Amino acid sequence: MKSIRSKVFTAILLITLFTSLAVTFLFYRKSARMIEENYSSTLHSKNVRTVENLDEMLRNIYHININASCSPQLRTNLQAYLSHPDDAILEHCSEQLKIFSRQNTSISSIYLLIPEYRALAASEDYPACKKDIDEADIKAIIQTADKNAGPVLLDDLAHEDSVTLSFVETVTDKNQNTIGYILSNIDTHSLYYHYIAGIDDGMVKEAVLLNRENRVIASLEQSPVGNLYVRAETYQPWMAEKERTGIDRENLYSFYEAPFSQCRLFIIAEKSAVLENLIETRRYFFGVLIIFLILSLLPAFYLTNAIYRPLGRLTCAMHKVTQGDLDTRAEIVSKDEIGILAADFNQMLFRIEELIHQLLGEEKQRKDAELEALQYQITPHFMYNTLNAIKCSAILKGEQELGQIIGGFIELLQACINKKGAFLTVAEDIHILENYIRLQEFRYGSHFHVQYQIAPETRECLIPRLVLQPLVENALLHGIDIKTRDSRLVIISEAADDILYLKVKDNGRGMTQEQIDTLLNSKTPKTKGLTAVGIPNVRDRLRLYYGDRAGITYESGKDGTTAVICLPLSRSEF
Amino acid sequence: MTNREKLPACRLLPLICIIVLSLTACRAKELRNSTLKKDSYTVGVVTKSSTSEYWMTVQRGMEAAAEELEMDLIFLSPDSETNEEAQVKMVRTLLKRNVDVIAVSPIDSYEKPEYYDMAREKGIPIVSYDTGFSGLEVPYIGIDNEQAGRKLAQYLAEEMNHEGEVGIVSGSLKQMSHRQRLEGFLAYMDTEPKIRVAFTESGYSNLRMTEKKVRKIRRKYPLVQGIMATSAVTAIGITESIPKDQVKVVSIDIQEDAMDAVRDGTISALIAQSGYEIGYETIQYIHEILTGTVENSGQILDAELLTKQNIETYKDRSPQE
Repeated sequence: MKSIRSKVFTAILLITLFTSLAVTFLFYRKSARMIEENYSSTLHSKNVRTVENLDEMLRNIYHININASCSPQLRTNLQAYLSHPDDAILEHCSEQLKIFSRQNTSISSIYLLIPEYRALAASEDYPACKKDIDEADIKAIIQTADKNAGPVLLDDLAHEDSVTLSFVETVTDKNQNTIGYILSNIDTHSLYYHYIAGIDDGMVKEAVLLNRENRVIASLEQSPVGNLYVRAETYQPWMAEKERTGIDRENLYSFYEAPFSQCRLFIIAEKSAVLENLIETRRYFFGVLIIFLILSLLPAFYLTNAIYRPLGRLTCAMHKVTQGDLDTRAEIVSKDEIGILAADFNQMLFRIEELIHQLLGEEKQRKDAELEALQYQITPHFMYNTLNAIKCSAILKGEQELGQIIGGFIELLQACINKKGAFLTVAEDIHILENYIRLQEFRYGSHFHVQYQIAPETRECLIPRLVLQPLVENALLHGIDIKTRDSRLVIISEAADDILYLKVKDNGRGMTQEQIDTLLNSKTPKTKGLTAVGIPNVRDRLRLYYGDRAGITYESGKDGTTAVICLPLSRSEF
Repeated sequence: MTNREKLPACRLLPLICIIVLSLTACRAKELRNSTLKKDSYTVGVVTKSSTSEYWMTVQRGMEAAAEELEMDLIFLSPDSETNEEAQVKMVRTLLKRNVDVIAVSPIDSYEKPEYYDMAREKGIPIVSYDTGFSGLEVPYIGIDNEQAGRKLAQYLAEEMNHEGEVGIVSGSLKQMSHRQRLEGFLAYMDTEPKIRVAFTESGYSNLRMTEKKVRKIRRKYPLVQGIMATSAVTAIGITESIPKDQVKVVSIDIQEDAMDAVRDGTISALIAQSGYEIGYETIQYIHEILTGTVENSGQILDAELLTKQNIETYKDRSPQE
C-alpha cells in the first residue's frame, strides 16, 4: 500500500468489485423479492380458491343435512322405529338416507343416529345399520353438536379408526323433542385428496386444513387427523385474523379462513425451494463476476503502470538530487501534470546551479577585496612614518618651510587615504584644500591669490570629503595660467534656501562648452590617487549620496570659469 | 506520523458506513407480514328461499352493502318458503356460530320462534327484513305491506270503475308481509260498496298457482275482473293462464319478468318492492346497530306503484339494470 501505483490499483479493484457486487446483489434481491411476492400471491390465491371451493361444498352439505333432518318421511320412520324397534325400519331409513347422500358426491355417508336405542341407520350398503353403539361416543357427539355450528370432527361411528368431518342436526318430533340426529359425514381422506394433495407443487412444505379449534382435518405432512395442530403456536403470527400472507427468512405463509365453515387452510412454502432457480442464477452471476474481475485486472495493471512510469522517473530523479547529484535531470515522458512537474523540476535545478555559480563568484571577489584592504593598511603607515621622519629632519636642519610643506602633504595624504568617515565639515575640507594649494604653489614655484569667502553659517555644514579639491585641481590644470602673476582663485561657500553652494572661481582663460561636457560626462577613471580623480568622481559621489538633489555645473566666459556644486544643507551625517 | 496513519481510516469510515447500511437495509425488510382481511363483523342472514329472483336480488343488495361496510355475510336459505323447520334450524346454527347479528325473513311471523329467547340469552340481536315478526320486538326493514295492499286495491277499483268482482291469491298467511298486503287490500275494498271480493286463495308464497287451479277458479268465478297476487311469482303464474285483456292482475315485488309483464300489460300494476334495496338497507341498518348509531326500530322503505305509464322512469337501485 505504499506506492501510488498500488493505491490506484487497489482503488480500481475496490470500485469495480463494489459496483459489480452491489449491482449483482441488488439485482438478486430485487428478483428474489419479485419471485417471492409472485409466488406468495399465487400461493394465496390457490389457498383462497381451495378454501372457497371447500366452503361451498360444505355449505351445500349443510343444506342437505338440514333437509334430511327436516324430511317428514325420515321423521315418520324414526317415530315408527321408536315405537317398534324393527331392523326393517332402519333399512328403510337407510334407503332414504341414500337419496340425500347422492345429492353431493363429497358426502361419504349420512347416519341417522337414534340415541334412545344406541342404533344408527347409514346411507352405506355396509353397514346399513349398526346397533349397540358406545354410550360415551353418542354423548360426545351430542355435546359436540350442541356446541358447534359448523362441521365437526368426529370418530366414525360405523367404521373403526376413521375420522370424519360431519354436520350434525337434530331430528325433532312435533313437540320439538329431539328424537334423533342426522350426521352428514365427509371422509377426511377424500378431503385430503380433493383439496390438500393438489396444493403440493414441490415448494409447499406444509398445507394443513384446520377447523376452528385448530384441530387437523387434513395435512400434507400427515399430522394426525383430529388432534390439535402441534405447530399452531409456532406459526401463531401467521395464522391470525381471517386472511393473512407473510414471508419470513425461511418460509412463505398463506392463511385463509372460510367464511361459513370457519375451516382454515394454512400453507407454508419453502423459500429456498421457491428461489432455487434464482440461486442457481446467482451462482452463475458470481462466477461471471469473478472471471470479469480477473480479466479487468490486466487493463488495470497496464493502466496503473502507465500512470506510474513518469512519476517513478521523477521520483527517482528527485531522490538523486536529494543525494547531492545536482547534474541529474528528470526525464520528461508525458505531457500531463507529471510532465509539467518534471519540466519545472528541471528548471528549478538549473536555477539552483546558476545561483550557486553566482554565489561562488561573489565570494571570490569579497576575498580579493579583503586582501587588498589589508595591503593598503600597511603602505600608508610606512609612508606617513617616512614622511614624518623627513619633515622632522627638515625642521632640524632649519628648513622650516620644507618641513611645513611636508607636514601639509602628510595631512593631505591622510585625508585622501583615510577611510574613516565619508563626510567632512566645510571648514575641514577648506583646511585640506589650503594644504593642497600650498603644495601646488610649492610645486609650481609660483604664488596664486586664493581668496576664501566662507559664510560663517556654512562652516559646520557637512559635505562629502574632498569635493572641492578636484574643482581646484581642474582650475589649476585647465583654468588659470600659473605663470602669470595675477592668477586668482576664489573659493565660496554660501547657503540659500537650505541649499549649500560651493563655488570655485578662477580668472583663467576659460573653457569651451565642449571641454565642459567632456569634463562632466567622462567616466570615472580607474586609477586611484590624489590627482586625476577628477570631476566625474565628484559628480558620481554627489549622485550616490544625494540623488537628484545635488549637482555640479560649470560656467565659463572670458573672465574665467566658475564651478558650482549645489547640495542639500546638512549639519549631521545621515 | 501517527496522525497521518489515522487519517485514511477516518476518511474510509463514511464509505464503510454506506456499505454496511446498504447491506443491512436489504436484510431489514426480510420479514413481511400482511393481513389481507381482518376479523370483522359477521352477519348471519336467513332468507325464506334461495330459488326466486327476488331473493337473489335481496342477497345482491346485502352483499353490496356488506362489501362497502367491510362486513362478512353468511347466507343460509331453506329450499322453499314453506320449510319453516329448516329456517329455524338455520337460525340456530347461526346462533351457535356466534355471529354478531342475525337477519331473518321469517316464514312464520306469528309464532314466537324458539331461537328468539336463545338469541336474547346470547345477546345476539335479531333483525327482520322483507317480512316482520308479529308481536315481537324485532326491528323490521321493508316496505309498508298494508299500504301496498291498499294502493293496489285503489288502483284496481279505479280501473274497474268502482264496480265488479275481484279475487286475491295470497302467500302464506303465516307470513306477516302477505297477510298485511291482504288486509290492506281488503280494508280498502270495504270502502268500495260496489266491489265484491269474490275469493281469497292463500298459501302461495313465491309459488306458482297451477294452471289447473287457475282454470278452476276462473270457472268458479267468471265475473272476476281483477286479481291481486301478493307475490310477483304467483302473479306471473296466473297471467300465463289467463288472457291479459280479461282480468287485470296486480302484484308486488321487483323482478325482471314481472317488469316485462308490466311493460306488455299482462300485469297491470306492480308495487315496486325492490329486493336489492331491502337487502342493502338491512345491512346498513345492522351496521348501525353494531356501531351503536341506530335511531329507530326498523326502517320502512318507499314502494312506488308501477304501471305501464311510469315503469320506464323507474330505476331500481340494483346495478343490474
